[in-house]
Amino acid sequence: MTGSDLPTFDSAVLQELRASVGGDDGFISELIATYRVDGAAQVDSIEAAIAAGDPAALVRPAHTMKSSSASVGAQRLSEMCRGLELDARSGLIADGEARLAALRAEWSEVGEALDRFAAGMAD
Amino acid sequence: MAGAGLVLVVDDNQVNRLILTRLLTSQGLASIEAENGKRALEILRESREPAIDVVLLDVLMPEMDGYETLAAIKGDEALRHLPVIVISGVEELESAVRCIELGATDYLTKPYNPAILGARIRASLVDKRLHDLEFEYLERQTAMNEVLEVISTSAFDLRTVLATVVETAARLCRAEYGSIWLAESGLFRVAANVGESTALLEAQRARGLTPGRGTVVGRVALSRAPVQIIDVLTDADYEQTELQRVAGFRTLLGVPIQRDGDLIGVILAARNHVLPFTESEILLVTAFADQAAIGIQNVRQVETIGRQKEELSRFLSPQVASLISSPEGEEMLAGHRRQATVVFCDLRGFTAFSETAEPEELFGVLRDYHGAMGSLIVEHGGTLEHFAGDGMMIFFNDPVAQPDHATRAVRMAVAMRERFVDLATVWRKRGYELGFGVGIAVGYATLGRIGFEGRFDYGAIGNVTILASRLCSEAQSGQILLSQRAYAAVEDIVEAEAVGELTLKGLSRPVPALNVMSLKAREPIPAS
Repeated sequence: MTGSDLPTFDSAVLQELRASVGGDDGFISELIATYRVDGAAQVDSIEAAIAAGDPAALVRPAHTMKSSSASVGAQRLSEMCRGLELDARSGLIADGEARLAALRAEWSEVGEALDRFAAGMAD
Repeated sequence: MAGAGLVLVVDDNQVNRLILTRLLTSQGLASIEAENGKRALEILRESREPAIDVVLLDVLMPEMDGYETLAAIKGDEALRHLPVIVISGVEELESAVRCIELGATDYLTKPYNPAILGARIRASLVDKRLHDLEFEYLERQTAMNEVLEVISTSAFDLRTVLATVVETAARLCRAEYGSIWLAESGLFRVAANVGESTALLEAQRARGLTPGRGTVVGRVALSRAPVQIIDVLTDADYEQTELQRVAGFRTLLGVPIQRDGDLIGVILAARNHVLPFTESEILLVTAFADQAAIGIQNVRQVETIGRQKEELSRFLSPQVASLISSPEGEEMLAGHRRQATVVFCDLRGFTAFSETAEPEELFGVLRDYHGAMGSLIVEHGGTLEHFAGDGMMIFFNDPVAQPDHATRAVRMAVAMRERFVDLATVWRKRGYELGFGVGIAVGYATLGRIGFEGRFDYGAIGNVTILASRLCSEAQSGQILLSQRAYAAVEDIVEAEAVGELTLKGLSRPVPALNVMSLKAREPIPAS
């Protein structure tokens, strides 16, 4: 699975979470902000590991990014990170540069989708 | 904090921690966060109030992963009972199996349903509460047994009893400070305490506390029921502000120590932070108050018995006094049959004297007479059954067995007669003509408690008593009349003369009697 058939952003995940915490928009905003700050750092770590050709250093940021992305509904990004984590654990990262570029592009799209979701919430 | 629960969330992923803690909050659960297993163990090993009830554990973490953390928790005696729910994105069955084998209570995979997460945490909380209750019950039971043990083995030592009670009570209800205040003529003073001690506290102790709203002890004295001040800083009536500032206590509990409706003291427990004592802790301290009451009563009873024994021995023969408080006393008092030597003695001419003498003279004579004779009775180990005016009845060989009872009786009678000569000399100078006569008999008597509720004597009943009494009546002044059997028992040590057969009132046949002239000089021991 390449993840291409998964949505960039599944808003149902955050909608459900929001319902579970009694419609606490403040919390959802805080969560999005936390994800974006932490996610940027994780993406940087992934880039550094790929650039250094260091699979061991790639495992943790890919794992973390896989997990938090799934938590906010960034399905395709989560799946991309899952693939990176699996490859990193096997010690081989094929097409590192290309996958990094795709990851960066996806991260940027997720950011826009989250901005739209947050804006819609504020209405 | 019963009802709510405190969850330790262990996850290296900040986003996931944020979501978990918020979900827990919306389910009414408080949480603490740890970013890895190492930090989690540090938090778990800190002593904290309230304690952590459940651990939510991620598997893949830096520093120390979930497996290692789980193994450490389950390998620690103090943490073993904590429920651990493992949450992980690792969807393989393998990791779930490994976690369960390591002792995890439950396993959840991400993405998890918040409602299921809540339900599983609550189920674990129930388990934890049951375990805590069981542990608490055992802890309290053990402590109560220890206190009972101390109470039963230190009946003479109130200080030890109270110190144990207050130390155990404070420890079990997690109070930093505890004390026992005992009532002494309206004032309450500290009899035992644990925890910090300051000069101010000492001063307060010395002064004592009075009933009133200003202190917990005072409030208990007013209400005679457990009293709690949840925070002394917000209690308008609380007066010990200076002491509070120095000692720093915040939540106070006072429980009355009562016995038969009387308030005999107060147990005080104090915490240095605001945390109300729970219903079960108050019950626990109340149970300790009951133990303290029993302990105090035991000690006071032992003191009272000691005092009574001392008092009694001034009225009763020391033998009877000690018999009363001995373990076999009740059996002895119930009545038993035994050979005894019974001695009666009285004054000749006393009735005529008492009719003419002034009361002061009469009591003066009796005091001298009883004093002199009493010390001889004690010296020879006789049991004074009673004295009525000038008459006394003394028996030997009971309640303490005396193989030489007849000899003791006769030696005592001879000593009494000699002592009487001195008394009579003094009395004669004052114009009182009094004589002294004795009757002694040996035989079986029934001995034990005689009388009726409210007035019992330890007495001897039987023909031997009647015979001794009659012999005494027949005795001339200065005579010691022995029955035939009494003489047979002592003939080796006395010079006696037969006074012929006497017809005694109440006895069908005349009885032979002998008068003791003197004791034989002790046979010189042949030189070897």
